[in-house]
Amino acid sequence: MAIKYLKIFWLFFRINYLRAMEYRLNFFTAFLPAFFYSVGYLVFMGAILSRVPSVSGWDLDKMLLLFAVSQFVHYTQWIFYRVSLERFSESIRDGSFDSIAKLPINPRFVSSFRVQSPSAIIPFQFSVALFFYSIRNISIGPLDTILFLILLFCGFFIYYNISFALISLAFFIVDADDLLWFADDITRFGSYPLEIYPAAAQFILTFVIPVMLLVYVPTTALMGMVNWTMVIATMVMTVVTWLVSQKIWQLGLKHYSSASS
Amino acid sequence: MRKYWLYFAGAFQIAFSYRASLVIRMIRDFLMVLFFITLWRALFAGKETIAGFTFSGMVSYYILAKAVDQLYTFDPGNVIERHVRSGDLSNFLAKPINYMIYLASHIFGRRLARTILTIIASIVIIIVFPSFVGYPAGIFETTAFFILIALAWLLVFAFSYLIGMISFWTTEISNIRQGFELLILILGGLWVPLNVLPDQISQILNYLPFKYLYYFPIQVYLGKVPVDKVFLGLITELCWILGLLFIAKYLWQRGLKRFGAYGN
Repeated sequence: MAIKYLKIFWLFFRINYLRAMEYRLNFFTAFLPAFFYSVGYLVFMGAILSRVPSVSGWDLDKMLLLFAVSQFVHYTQWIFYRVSLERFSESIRDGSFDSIAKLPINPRFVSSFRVQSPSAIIPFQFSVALFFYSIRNISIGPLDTILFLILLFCGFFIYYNISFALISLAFFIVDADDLLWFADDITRFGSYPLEIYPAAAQFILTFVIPVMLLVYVPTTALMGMVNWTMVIATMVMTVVTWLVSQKIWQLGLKHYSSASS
Repeated sequence: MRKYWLYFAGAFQIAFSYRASLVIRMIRDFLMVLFFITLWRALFAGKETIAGFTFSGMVSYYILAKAVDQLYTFDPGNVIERHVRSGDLSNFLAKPINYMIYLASHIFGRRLARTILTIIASIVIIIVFPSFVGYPAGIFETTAFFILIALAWLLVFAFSYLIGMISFWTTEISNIRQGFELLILILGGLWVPLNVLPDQISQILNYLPFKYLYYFPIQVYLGKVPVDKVFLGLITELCWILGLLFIAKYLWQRGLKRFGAYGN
């Protein structure tokens, strides 16, 4: 079953890659927004940190690492599922979701992965370069790396679940795509050190809207600053967000069929 | 002018019909303001001033920049790209209208709905964070600020129009467009006042037109620019707008020849 879905995913990806290559210049200039955003961040943070020693104990390299990991997470969603989710919202509006629901494939899978954005691979590579640049002065052990990768994967999954849960609200409200941009803004909170927030906000950003688990927790694990409560929270939230997104999706499907019948 | 008024009114009505979208956008901006206040609080820990700004001064700057940002839009580039790619531009060329004025009326109408919400949001911010709100230095500064902002709207329009025209030469330009839009906003001082940046960078930026978007008008509003420099700034900004619109007109003619060559 899993292989069937991997094959379908690969097929979707190839189709979308060919489509993107119709506009080659646009494909290869995909790094521009990421480049300007990163340079802007570097100049901004560099200018500030030349005047203050650190941000709640985080120096420029560590801040840059946090930023690079947040860019990873951001572009991963664009590569894999972001455009699909926006199209899903459109398909509910124009009724074309009917044809997706009829396919002999899991409709959640099709709605999540039928349109990828292969050009996002280019800014993704840029964030990888930024990542390696930022860790040049940080000593990292193999166990830290493994834990980082596991937590990062959980972070990707939590982000996907949150995005999917929000876009599933398209079954109930008209303009759910705005909520995805809303989620993007909220996740920006997670790309800065937890220590900058007041205690109440720290709790909310970890356990209620778990954006600190996407970037901050994997990054601190990589730097050997493991907080096991946070690690366990990440594992639990991976499952909880999946269950919540699945529940909203199923409720939405019921609502949709009753609306069209 | 009546036809352009109709384009303006139509765009305003359509934009205002997406009220939920506008409200979500407003909440997003409000959250960003909260986020920046938190970030600056951490950055100012143990420091009285950074580059001459106190904590509340920096937050005031950001709130003002964010409010001004609501008025600007890079939609003209987006619309031109869409019209060129779809071939819809031919329909507009066949009509007895000036495309540039049409676009300005349409875009301004669309943006006005957001502007109204910005005014409401600003009132909310004044009530919630009275100590963070930067108040105008005087009547002259306030008047100059609004004139500078109106001109900056035209400046953004000219930039966006120029970027949009790249689509005559290469049809899909979304990444180029987004990249340059982001660059213009950063160099204009949306994220941080330009004098916080390293000296060499802020000196270079002083000669470029981007500072007229956020940094210069806000400094004028806060009374940090002498009167003679305000007038000089106004004239320089006007020259930039005229220069860019002149280039836009020239490139438009060149672009149209290319558009015609597609057979559209």
